[in-house]
Amino acid sequence: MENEKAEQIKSIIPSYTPMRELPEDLSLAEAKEMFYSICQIREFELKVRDLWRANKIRGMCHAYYYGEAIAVGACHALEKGDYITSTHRGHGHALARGASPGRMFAELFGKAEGYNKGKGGSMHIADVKSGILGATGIVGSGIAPAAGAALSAKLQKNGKVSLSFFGDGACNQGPFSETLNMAAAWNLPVIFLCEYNQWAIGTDYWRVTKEHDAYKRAEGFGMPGIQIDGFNVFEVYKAVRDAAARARAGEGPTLIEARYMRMLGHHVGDDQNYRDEKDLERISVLYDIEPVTRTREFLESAGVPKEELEDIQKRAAAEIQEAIAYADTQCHEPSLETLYEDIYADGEIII
Amino acid sequence: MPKYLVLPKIGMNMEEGVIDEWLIKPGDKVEKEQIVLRAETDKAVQDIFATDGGIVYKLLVHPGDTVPCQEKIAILLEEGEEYTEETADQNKASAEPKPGPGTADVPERKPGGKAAGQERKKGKVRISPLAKKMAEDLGIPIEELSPEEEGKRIVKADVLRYEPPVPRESSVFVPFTPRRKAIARHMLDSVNHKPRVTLVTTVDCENLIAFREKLKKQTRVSYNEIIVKACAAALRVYPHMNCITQEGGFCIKEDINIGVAVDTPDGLLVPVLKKADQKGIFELAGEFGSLTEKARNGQLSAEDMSGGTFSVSNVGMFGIESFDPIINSPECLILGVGCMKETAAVVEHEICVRTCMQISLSFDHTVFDGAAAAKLLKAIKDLLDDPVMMLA
Amino acid sequence: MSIKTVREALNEAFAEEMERDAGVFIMGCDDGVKGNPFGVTMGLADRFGLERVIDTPISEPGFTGMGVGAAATGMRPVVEIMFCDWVTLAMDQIVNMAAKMRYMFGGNVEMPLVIRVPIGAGGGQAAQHSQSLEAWFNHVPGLKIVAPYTPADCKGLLKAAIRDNNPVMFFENKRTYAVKGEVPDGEDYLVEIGKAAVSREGQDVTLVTYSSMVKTCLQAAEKLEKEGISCEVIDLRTLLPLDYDTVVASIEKTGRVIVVHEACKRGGMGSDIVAEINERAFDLLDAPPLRVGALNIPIPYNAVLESAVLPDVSDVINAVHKSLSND
Repeated sequence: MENEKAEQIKSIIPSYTPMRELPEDLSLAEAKEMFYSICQIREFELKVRDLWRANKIRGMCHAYYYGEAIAVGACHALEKGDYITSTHRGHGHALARGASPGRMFAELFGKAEGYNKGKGGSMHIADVKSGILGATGIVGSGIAPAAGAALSAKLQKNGKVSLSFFGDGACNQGPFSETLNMAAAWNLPVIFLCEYNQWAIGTDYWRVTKEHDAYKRAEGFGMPGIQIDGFNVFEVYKAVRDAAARARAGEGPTLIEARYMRMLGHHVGDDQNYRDEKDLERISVLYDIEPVTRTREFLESAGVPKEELEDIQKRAAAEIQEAIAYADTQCHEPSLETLYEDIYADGEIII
Repeated sequence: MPKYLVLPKIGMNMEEGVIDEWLIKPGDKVEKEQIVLRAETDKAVQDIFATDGGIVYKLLVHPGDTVPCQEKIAILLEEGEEYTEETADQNKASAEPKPGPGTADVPERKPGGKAAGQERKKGKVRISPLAKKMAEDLGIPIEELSPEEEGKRIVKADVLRYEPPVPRESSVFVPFTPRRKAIARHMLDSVNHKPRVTLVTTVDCENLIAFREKLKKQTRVSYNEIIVKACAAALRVYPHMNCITQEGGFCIKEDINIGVAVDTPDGLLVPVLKKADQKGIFELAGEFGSLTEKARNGQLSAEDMSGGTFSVSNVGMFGIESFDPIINSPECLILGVGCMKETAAVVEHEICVRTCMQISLSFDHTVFDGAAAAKLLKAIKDLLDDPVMMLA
Repeated sequence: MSIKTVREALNEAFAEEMERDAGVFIMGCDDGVKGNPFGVTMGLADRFGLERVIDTPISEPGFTGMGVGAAATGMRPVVEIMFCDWVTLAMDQIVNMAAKMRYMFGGNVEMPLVIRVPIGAGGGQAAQHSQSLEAWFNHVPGLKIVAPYTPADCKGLLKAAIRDNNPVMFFENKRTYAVKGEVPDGEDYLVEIGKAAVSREGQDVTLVTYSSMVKTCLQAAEKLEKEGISCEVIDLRTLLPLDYDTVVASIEKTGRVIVVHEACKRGGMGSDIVAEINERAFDLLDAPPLRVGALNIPIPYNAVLESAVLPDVSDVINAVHKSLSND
């Protein structure tokens, strides 16, 4: 029975790796922190969906639920001061990088206290001070800037690493290839982390891409490529940790393909009419290995008391509730006078 | 080749004419010299003859138009000839060069594109924003601005050269009609070339009044005819004074033709009573009556008004006592007649009331001297003091 | 003050700024070892190393995006698109990233990025190596645009662009690299972005222009002077922000204005400038503002055809006559 399930899972996530033990350089306390972070993102995104449905959030919201292991694993492996570039599905990246949920909700509510002063919204939430060089709504457009940040680091010799989150859809954008080539040619300290969720908006990646294994492209550019279990926070952690070490050692970029699955719609309002019942039935097995369930199971098996884990989940939920209350009751609409602010540097206004 | 009728100059001073009435229409055959048109000239409404012959194709001017002499007034064709634009006007055809073949369109880079400047709405004032703003600021009505060249936009420079009209009272400018122009020219000519002296005397009208009362019983006679007769009779006595000036001298005339100024709606006209010395007062009265009638209806012919050797101008009916009339050039004498009026007079050392009238004779001092004129006026006065003497 | 070509002036600007600020680096095709196809970066790699004068692969979207990332992380990159025509490839990074990031991220991203874009036709390079596409970027809030002509302005504005904390599109005309002129010496020489220059004073008509057409307009003004027509020539130098104060001050004097550029007339800078003039200075106009630009035709290869497409002195003269005709 267990084997049968594992086979089913592997047909979707070939790199499926059970969570058996802590990575050697992680403590249990760190693992619990990571679990908190996963729960925080999950809770955040579920509330985002509710609030979007309640018309409290404008525009499109691409929720990060079920991808938590990638953001949390990757960001845990990076140093403070390292750079990341995020995507339209970027709430998880920001939270994993330590952003305040309150200021994130403030941004989603379009408030002046939001990270982007109410001018970015869901697709662009970024705490730039934490090293996020922005979240971009154009698929693949953060890849080259991440390499540019790596070029900076190299020229400045500051030992920083840059990581670009992007999806499988972005692998088919031209700048992906251009940037991987240049990063490899110049040994840039950059990690290309492909969050492979199988769906390019409403099109199955496999329908439009002959070679399903994105990591194999790395070889063509002369860099290591690796495929990992994107639902496994420790696997992500290890892969990024190793890639960052290589980068810092001046050995150049790595392409990591973190396979997971977009369990729900492209955005919170997507009815997925392009996805048939059979497919949804097929992927239902993945709920057994999704990050919250699985990390919790691992921690339980590692001896963390059930109550403590429940407490972690409750704390995460409470933090999100507080964050919403803060954004809702203590934040302010930006004034119209801010309209022209920040188009140009140093307070310059060009009408 | 089409031919044209032009407006001929039919009087010495004629420069233009106002078309009154066409006597021909397109399709008519006209002979050269045939009367085809009536036009008001400096003298009167006159018959205008055809300057060429042919079939009338088109009339180019219309009643009311003011047409300079020698201007084309109608197009004539030969019998059977077709009118075409090509044959219409050689001058015009040669003056406007046609674009030659082979001037291919070069790529268009005209600012504003091809359509600019074409199909402009008529009547709409075209003014630049700057000119408009300046005009508004300066309080200049835009209607009073005009471009330097017709059809162009009114621009700043046009505002700068604008001169406000001289402040004026309510007034209406009336351009001279050809008639008025003729009168003006005539008067100026007289004043400039005929230094005049006016002699004044008084007629005792008691006998004149009685004389006319008698004649009136027979037929309608006015004082004018009696005065004309008196003047003619006086001239008979001094025939050398019956003259008109000519270049370098004057010409003594056999016929005593006396013009009488008549006021008409179109201005002063002077029909002439020909050979007045040879006509009786009744005959003169009849003739003068019909001339006056014609004058008031604008029907006087040039003939009716030509050939005068002496003029009479009577303003007595307006209560005017005396004036010095301007000589009706090329004549040399004119008698001005004032009103009859009861006056305190001295007769045989007694002051009594008599009806009197002043008459004044203006003469051309280039031709006569005062004594001659005085004698003539005295003769006229004597005849009017006692009109019966005219029969003598 | 010394006489230099535009090429030398740009090279000197680079050298001075790279000397002054270690964050300044150049990236583009053939900029390093070769020293740029037009010789603009000649010698810089020898002096500053290939690490700072980077030879890129032919990957405009990629290396422009890298410039964006480097600018956001403390560097002052100068990215070169070898021919303006290819800026199309890099549009996403310029328009959606460089121009927008500061605003989109609440003012928290710096973007001191210069993108050098050589423009201009006239050399028989046909439709994909000749365009002047500067007007496209005028439509994008968040960018600055400079398009200098004289060697002095090229130097002073490139230095100012490098020091500016905003993304600056730097349009230099390929045909003007050999233009000579006096260039002030000294590292501190800068030309302020956003200030036009009056290249020639006049009374009757204002010619508003930039880049290679400055020369064309000055030549036209020279000829028109013999007819008794006095033209004021304004070299905009910066297109965004555009110095409308100088433009309007000139129109106040002349009442007539013609915008002249090498780019296609339709949708060119002239269209926007004329619209802005109408809004700002309608009551100063004594004639409709006119535009002179290239015909709305792809640049053809054949020399006769090419010159028929590009605006020249006679086109400017014709426009001046039209403006003065009051038609």
